[in-house]
Amino acid sequence: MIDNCSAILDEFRTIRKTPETYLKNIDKPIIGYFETYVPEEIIAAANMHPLRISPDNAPITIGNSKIESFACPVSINFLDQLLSGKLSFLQGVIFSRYCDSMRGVADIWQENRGKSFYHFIPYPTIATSESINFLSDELEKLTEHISDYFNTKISEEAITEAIRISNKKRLAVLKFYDLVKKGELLISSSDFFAIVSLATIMDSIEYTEKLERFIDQYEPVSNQNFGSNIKVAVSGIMLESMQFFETMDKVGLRMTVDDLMFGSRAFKGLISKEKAGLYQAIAKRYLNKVPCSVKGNLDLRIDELVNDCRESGTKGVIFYIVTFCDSEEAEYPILKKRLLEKKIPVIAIEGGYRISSTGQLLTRLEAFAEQIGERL
Amino acid sequence: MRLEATGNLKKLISGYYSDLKKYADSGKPIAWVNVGIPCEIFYAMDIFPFYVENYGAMLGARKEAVKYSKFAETDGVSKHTCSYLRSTYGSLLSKEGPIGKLPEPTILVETSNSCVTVLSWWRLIEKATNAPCFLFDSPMVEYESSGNHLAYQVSETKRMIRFLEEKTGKRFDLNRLKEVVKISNEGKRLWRETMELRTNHPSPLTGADLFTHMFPMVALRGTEQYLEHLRMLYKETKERIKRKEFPVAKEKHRFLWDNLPIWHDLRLFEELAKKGINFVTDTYTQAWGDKFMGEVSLDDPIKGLAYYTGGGFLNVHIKKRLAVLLDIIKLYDVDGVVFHADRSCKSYSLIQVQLADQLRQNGIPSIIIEADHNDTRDYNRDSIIARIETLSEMGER
Repeated sequence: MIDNCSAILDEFRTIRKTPETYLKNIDKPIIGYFETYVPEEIIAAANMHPLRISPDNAPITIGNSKIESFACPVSINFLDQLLSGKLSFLQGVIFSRYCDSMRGVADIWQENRGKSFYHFIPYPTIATSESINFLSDELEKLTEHISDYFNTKISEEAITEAIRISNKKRLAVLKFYDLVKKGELLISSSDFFAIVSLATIMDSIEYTEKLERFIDQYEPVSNQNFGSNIKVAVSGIMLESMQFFETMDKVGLRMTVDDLMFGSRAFKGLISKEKAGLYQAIAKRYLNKVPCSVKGNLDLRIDELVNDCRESGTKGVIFYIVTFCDSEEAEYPILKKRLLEKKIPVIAIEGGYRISSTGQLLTRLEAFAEQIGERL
Repeated sequence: MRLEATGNLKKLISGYYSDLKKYADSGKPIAWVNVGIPCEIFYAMDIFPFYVENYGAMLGARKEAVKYSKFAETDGVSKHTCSYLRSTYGSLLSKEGPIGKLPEPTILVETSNSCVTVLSWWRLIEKATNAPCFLFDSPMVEYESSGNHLAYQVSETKRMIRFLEEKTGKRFDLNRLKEVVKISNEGKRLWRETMELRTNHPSPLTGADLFTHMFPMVALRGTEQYLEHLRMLYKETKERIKRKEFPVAKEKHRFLWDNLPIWHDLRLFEELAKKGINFVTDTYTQAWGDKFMGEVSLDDPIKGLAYYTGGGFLNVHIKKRLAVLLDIIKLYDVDGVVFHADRSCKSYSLIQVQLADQLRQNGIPSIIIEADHNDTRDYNRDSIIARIETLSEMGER
């Protein structure tokens, strides 16, 4: 890598390490959301910063006393951040019907939020012309709610511009994925994760500009050491632990493909112009994107994963299941059968929003690396 | 004190499963459906609606859920997943169960109006059976389905009918649906009136009684045998009041149960009744009452059924859940609430801490107990009884 490229990577690493410092310099009101079905374009069109909330890696302080212990740990962490005031820098939050744990968090927060902005999008689970019409109406209601609450006008031009910016960002991220997949950009699992995860945290224009420069100025160095350098895919819903990816680096597992909610699933599929209007265009994109296991049409998710694995020469898949996530727990046997049919080994690792035992993780990943490494 | 109607209920349940087999033997269409799906449309089209949750409850009540869950767990489904899912899917995989091998579905029909776990559940069944699957999409509502939401639910109902026609060859007849809905309405009225008899002091029924007798409300709405059974249940309940025959003659406490019952331990209610604690109402059987499944207009039954599908009990937000609780606490003169935090029903359970806090702020004593409606592993009966007794120590009538 040439110097300038290294500097950009260092900058990405620093922001990922301390996002709160970066966010302090955002000079716009910030609206938070928790999952990938909330359209950032509408928040951005209101001249606000859409911030995807991540699990914060800190111990729970109050969340456990407000929700049952069998809620998924990620949702307990989100509730904890909301109730403890850690997210008080937000102007408000937007939820959608995602999973059974997060609907609980949304309801509890609705009763405890005081007067802060709160919106729940009643989201469809399928993509049909009727569901697109329904979601389109609901997104228009969201726009009206933001306009009324913050006394701001959200014009069609602003939404069009926000769509253009988000699409440009998606294209840049997808190009990055493509280069990694083809082996034209060699990067460690932890750096891969850091770069992609910042796409939904940083300002979209700034992020895209940095990522495009990083890609343009990247020059592979032949002697880069990635250990045994075994290409793998990581699949799941929410995996935000840097420790996890650093452990992958340690054992020589290099993520070249991901199938995570805020990984490739957040970027595949652009918003195209629709005669029926902007909301229809947005609704169409979000309902047709590669789905999470809380939605319908899940064969598309597996098809995409299998296809990405094939194109990248991936040797195995790590399926990360957040404990108590019924949807992923039930999806695992289906995904496993399909991957094994394609002769792609898979390992399931269950855990919380942070890694409680790095030793155990290290042992399991090492064993997996040994198993699939022999297949090289 | 056993209800005479319970004898008829047994016949009803065995008749339902015998009909399921008859449909299979004669090649008539069978739909595996979940509880949010309106069975009236299926009966009107002569498609047998096999309610998988009901089958799960039967496995739970017979204490066979764990036995079948293990087949699902061996297949890779986590032990943390919903026990209805595990036990029914496990029974399907094992090709065994209380009625033997389950008859194959012609089609699968599911709705998202209770939880998203249903989507995973039906997906597993779909992969195991290769039957075509229809998902009735039902986004959440604040209080009830109206405006664009109701229009969407109507279009989903019509889309479902087109799917049923296409996959089974059966034709939909609106007049036949009206006949079925008329019977369904009459049964709902009887169910509501039976529930209201529980406002009597003492209540003529225990908590276990309506949980046991809800089967026809779920699976047989719109059939003659459903109506006959509800008439019998209502008459017997009313006569108990007339004859002053009460299962808990001296009610020291009138409690409310929130959530599904613990199917593998319905005797828990009997045990508590001996201590003068009667569960005079619950939120689960109310889900088939007029607050969530009232009368459907015969002028436009599709719209009426769509309205109740969209505003189903687990498809509403916390404000309505709280409003219903406060309403029935008053109506049934309840003096304490037991929230069953059901490990296998997150959409029901995960707001209970908040609801309990809000009830306490309204002066209503509430406690939370944790169990699983089907899975007997990790069940601690003594601890549950002790917690409910603690609630009862807050004052006798």
